[in-house]
Amino acid sequence: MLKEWLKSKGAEFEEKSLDDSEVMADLIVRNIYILSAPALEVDGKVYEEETLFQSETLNEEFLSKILEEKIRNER
Amino acid sequence: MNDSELLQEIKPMVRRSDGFMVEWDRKAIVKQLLTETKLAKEFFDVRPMTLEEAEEIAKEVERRVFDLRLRFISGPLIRELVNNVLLAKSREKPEYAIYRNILTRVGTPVYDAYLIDVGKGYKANENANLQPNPETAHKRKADWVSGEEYLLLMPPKLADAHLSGDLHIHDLEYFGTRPFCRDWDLRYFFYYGLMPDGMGTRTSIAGPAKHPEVAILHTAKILASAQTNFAGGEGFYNFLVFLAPYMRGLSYEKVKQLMQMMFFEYTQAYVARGGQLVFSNVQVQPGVPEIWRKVPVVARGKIGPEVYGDYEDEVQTLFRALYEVALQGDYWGKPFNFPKLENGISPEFFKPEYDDLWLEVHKVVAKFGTPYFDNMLPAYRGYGKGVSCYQCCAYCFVETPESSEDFEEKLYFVDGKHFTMGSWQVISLNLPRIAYKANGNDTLLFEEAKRLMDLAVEIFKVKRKWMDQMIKNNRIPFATQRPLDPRTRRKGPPAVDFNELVYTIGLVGGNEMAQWHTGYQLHESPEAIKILVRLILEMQKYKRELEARHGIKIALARTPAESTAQRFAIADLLTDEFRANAEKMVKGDLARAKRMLMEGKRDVSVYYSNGTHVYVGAKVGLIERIDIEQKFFPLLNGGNMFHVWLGEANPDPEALYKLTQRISTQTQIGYYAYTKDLTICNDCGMVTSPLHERCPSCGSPNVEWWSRITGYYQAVSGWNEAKKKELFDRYRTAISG
Repeated sequence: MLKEWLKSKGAEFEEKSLDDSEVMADLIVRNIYILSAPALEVDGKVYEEETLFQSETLNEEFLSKILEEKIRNER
Repeated sequence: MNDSELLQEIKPMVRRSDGFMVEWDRKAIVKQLLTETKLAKEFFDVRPMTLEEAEEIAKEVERRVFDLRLRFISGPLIRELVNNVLLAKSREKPEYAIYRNILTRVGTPVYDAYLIDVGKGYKANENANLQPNPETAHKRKADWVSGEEYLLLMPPKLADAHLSGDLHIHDLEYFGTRPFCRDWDLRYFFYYGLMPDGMGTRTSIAGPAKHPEVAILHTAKILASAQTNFAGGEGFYNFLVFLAPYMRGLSYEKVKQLMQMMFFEYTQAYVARGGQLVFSNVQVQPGVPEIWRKVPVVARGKIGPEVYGDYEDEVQTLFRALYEVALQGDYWGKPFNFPKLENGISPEFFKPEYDDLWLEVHKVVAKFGTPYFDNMLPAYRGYGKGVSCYQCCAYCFVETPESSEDFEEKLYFVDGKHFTMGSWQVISLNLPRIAYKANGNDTLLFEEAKRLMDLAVEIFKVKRKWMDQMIKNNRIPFATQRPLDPRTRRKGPPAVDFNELVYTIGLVGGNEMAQWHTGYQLHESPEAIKILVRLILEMQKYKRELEARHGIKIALARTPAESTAQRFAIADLLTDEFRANAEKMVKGDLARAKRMLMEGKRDVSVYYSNGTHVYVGAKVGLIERIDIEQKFFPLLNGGNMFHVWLGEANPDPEALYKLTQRISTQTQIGYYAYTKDLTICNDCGMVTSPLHERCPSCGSPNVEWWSRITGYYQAVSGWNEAKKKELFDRYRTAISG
């Protein structure tokens, strides 16, 4: 659901598996502990399932906000 | 001389182990072989010996005995000869090697038995909690017999994995007779009463406690009784909340006196496991946790109508009184080392209105260092969803609605259902050796860890088989007891729900594993931290696979490793394949240890770092060490511990409390303690800090040092050589400066 939404907004992203110990270890070394998937990392900040979703649906308002912020920062 | 006379002359008399002397009879060997090899079927799925085979062996043994022309021979020597013949024939018939294992006489040589009697020799300092008394001598002899028995009745490759130091079976002496540790639900006893023998026919049975003194005394006797059925620590979760209903209407002085009684009852009864104190702990909080507030009280043999939330004041009074007594210490002013005070830090009580109570705790920390902090604030602890405890040396257990289908019934004590938190068995893995074998290859590193986990699961299965037999034969009756319901007179549920116990796999030497694999210790490079994190993540993944495949619950943990951290280091130094590597990795005094090993000694001053700890002697600040070690807490669901080694004689309680707030709210550290080194004068009784060669008060050199060996405080004179060395290697922190 998250991936589809990002694609629909034309946002470029890299997908990583939390099942990969290399990926998880990189996060943990940075003191980032992900307790539930999916998670989204934007500019070093990680957002977890409880932030990205409201009950079963994607929190589009929140996602749009961080996406806009990222675009703004990159300009 | 005719044949009969010749036979009479060469037939020796037999001195039997049962205390009689009898004439030589070959049939006794046949009978012994047929009887004892039946265990081959039970433990190894190998057929017992046939009559023809037994007669053949007996004839061969008889020939050898007669050749010796002895007047007397002992039963043990005949057994050795039988085993000799079995071993020789095992080249053709491999099952004979199993028979030999089974027929082995276990026990100690006379010289070693003597050393044990005088407090020396075999594993003299393996467990600092053991007391210098005659009960301990008996326990250590029994431990020797039992440990050998369980290894011999295990598939040889599993026993060899332990003996060679690939892994360590903790509390091996109790492997076949008891589960490991357990946190008890006091409500069970406050409803059903106390039956110390678990059956009711061997001891008196007490009804549910009606009075506060009786309630306190029952708690001490519950743990003492439980210790006869369990190998590890015994404790109570939610201790003060369940006690609170007995305290209504009592003055503060009375409550304080009751808490004093509790401390003395727990620390003066040398009743457990060969004259030790019960290894006890109690989970305490300065109020009633949210989850319990609307739950009906269980006390005096009835349920409700009040709820625990009605007893907030009593819990606070108990908490304050408990710490006032802890601050005073015993008659000499020494700290009470038991019960371990496990302070639950949860959101309800980590607020300014509880500051004064937490400050009382930190006065005890500043004076003695004895309290522990079970930090439930980090998200991974899942606080509020269930019940949990840190207990024994630092094992963590949890029950949640997801893990336990009748969680709500247990919470509300429906039909006597209650929580069961504990472990069947602990097995630690030698992580540095895994790295030696992998020699820098990540894939090999993970594969070797998984191979050892497979072996651990095989050992767990053997354990469960033993335990099923113990349960079936009613050998752990306190755990399996089903007391009568005081109202319906029907039998209640068993005290322990064995399905809830977990199997624990421990890690030892994470720092040295990373050091060999990357060239850096944990405090020297993020690369070292990362490989240890990755290894544990891979182990967690494999743990889930093993749980699904075998239908068991497994927890990964940092084990206390009081002797294992030393044993693994020694095992690697003694093994040709690993010696050169281990000499570069072990901590402690290697030169001295090598000399002692050459002399045949085994209690030597080398060790690996415990669990995922930074090397104790690493000169890194507290904040940096927290930042490294916190990363492993969310990964070790079976428990972990962070140590703050205090470097001051008189730290400021307020500064300590501030540090506790910081650790608890800003880090992932889930369990920690501050360790203060103490000197106790045997002549004037003065307790001072830190470690002094002479008493600062009277100048006597007759002093005893006290410190935290691993997850508990004990006199340093009983520590093993590696732990004594570690005590001096610890890099201590100044808090107030």
